[in-house]
Amino acid sequence: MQPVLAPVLSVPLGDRWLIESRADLRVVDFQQGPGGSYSNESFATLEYLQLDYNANSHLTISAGRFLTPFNIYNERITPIWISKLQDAPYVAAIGTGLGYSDGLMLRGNVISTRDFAVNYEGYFSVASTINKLTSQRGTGGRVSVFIPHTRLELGTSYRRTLEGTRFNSEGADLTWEPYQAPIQIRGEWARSQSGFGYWIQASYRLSQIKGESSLIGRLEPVFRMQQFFRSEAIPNDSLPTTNAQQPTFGLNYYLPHEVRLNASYGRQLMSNATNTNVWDFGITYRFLFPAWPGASR
Amino acid sequence: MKARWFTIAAGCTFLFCTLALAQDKQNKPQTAPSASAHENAPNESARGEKLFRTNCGRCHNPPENISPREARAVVRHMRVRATLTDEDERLILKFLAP
Repeated sequence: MQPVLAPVLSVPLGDRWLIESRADLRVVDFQQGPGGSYSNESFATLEYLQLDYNANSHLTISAGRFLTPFNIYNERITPIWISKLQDAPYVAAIGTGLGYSDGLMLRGNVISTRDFAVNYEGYFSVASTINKLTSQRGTGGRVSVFIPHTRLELGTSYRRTLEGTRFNSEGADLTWEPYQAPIQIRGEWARSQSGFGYWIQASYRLSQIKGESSLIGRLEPVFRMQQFFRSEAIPNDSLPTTNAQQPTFGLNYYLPHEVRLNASYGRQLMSNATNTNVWDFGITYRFLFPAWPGASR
Repeated sequence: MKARWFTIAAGCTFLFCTLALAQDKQNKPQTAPSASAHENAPNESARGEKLFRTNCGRCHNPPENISPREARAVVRHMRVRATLTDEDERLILKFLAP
């Protein structure tokens, strides 16, 4: 059992500025060995706290702590009310450092037309060893092309870690959501000195059968396949220690009022370790409220 | 081993696509917003809805019962996340808080 609270704060200041933040507060149960008693530990993580300045359509400047822009998982899919499977894929640990960076980020769109848009993100992160505010020194970015008529996006990412042993990470990502059906295909490929891997995920909301508010229309089957191939043993890189693959089947059920039930089963297959079953059951509830009294504009 | 799992992944993805697109043919087809449809949108709220669906809707549904104040904060947040333009931000705000 793992209750998670992920408060997001968004404070617009004038027409151009924004302060935004997200934390992750969770309690994790541990079993003291097979058949042993349970104990729990709480964790609090400040995932981002950034000041954004929207200079124009082509440039937004962000300073502070921000989610490392590498591929799509870290920035877009980590919110628990968005992710269709609660477990992160293996390669989400590649190129993202600790998941967040402390420094400066520039982002925006290079060009945006009716037929396509080219977007970019670039950042530099400083090293920090302050308790609860640790970060890694590194630099990198992402460039993507988005085709609105087909809702197809292709991106490529790069990161250079500038702390300890310096190394590069590269990645590529794909998102496709055709208008013709409530289907979503997402995937990533990434490599670093630790190894390389990919994940690809497909989900289909059954809303075409009797409408999205019907009993069956609220169901969404999900399938994800992922593999990781280890090339060098790097301690504490948050990746499987050996080659690994995991197919995962999930089923989400969207209740009214932004409540979602989810369940999934995966089989983790390791090349030099015991294979394991991975079960997840969860419920997410998203709500928002004004944090400060004020007049509407 | 690699080829086997890749084949399973590709097969399941293909199955998802086939099921979804086959089901779509039985229902009223929806089309992507064309350039002319975009130009002839009845009002800015409708254009904002299309932009929401194209950009923000790729990850999540619109929040329920949102007030104008909340909408302003949400859209500013989404502008940074989804790299929206000035015009996109304005129109999506029209959709969420008409």
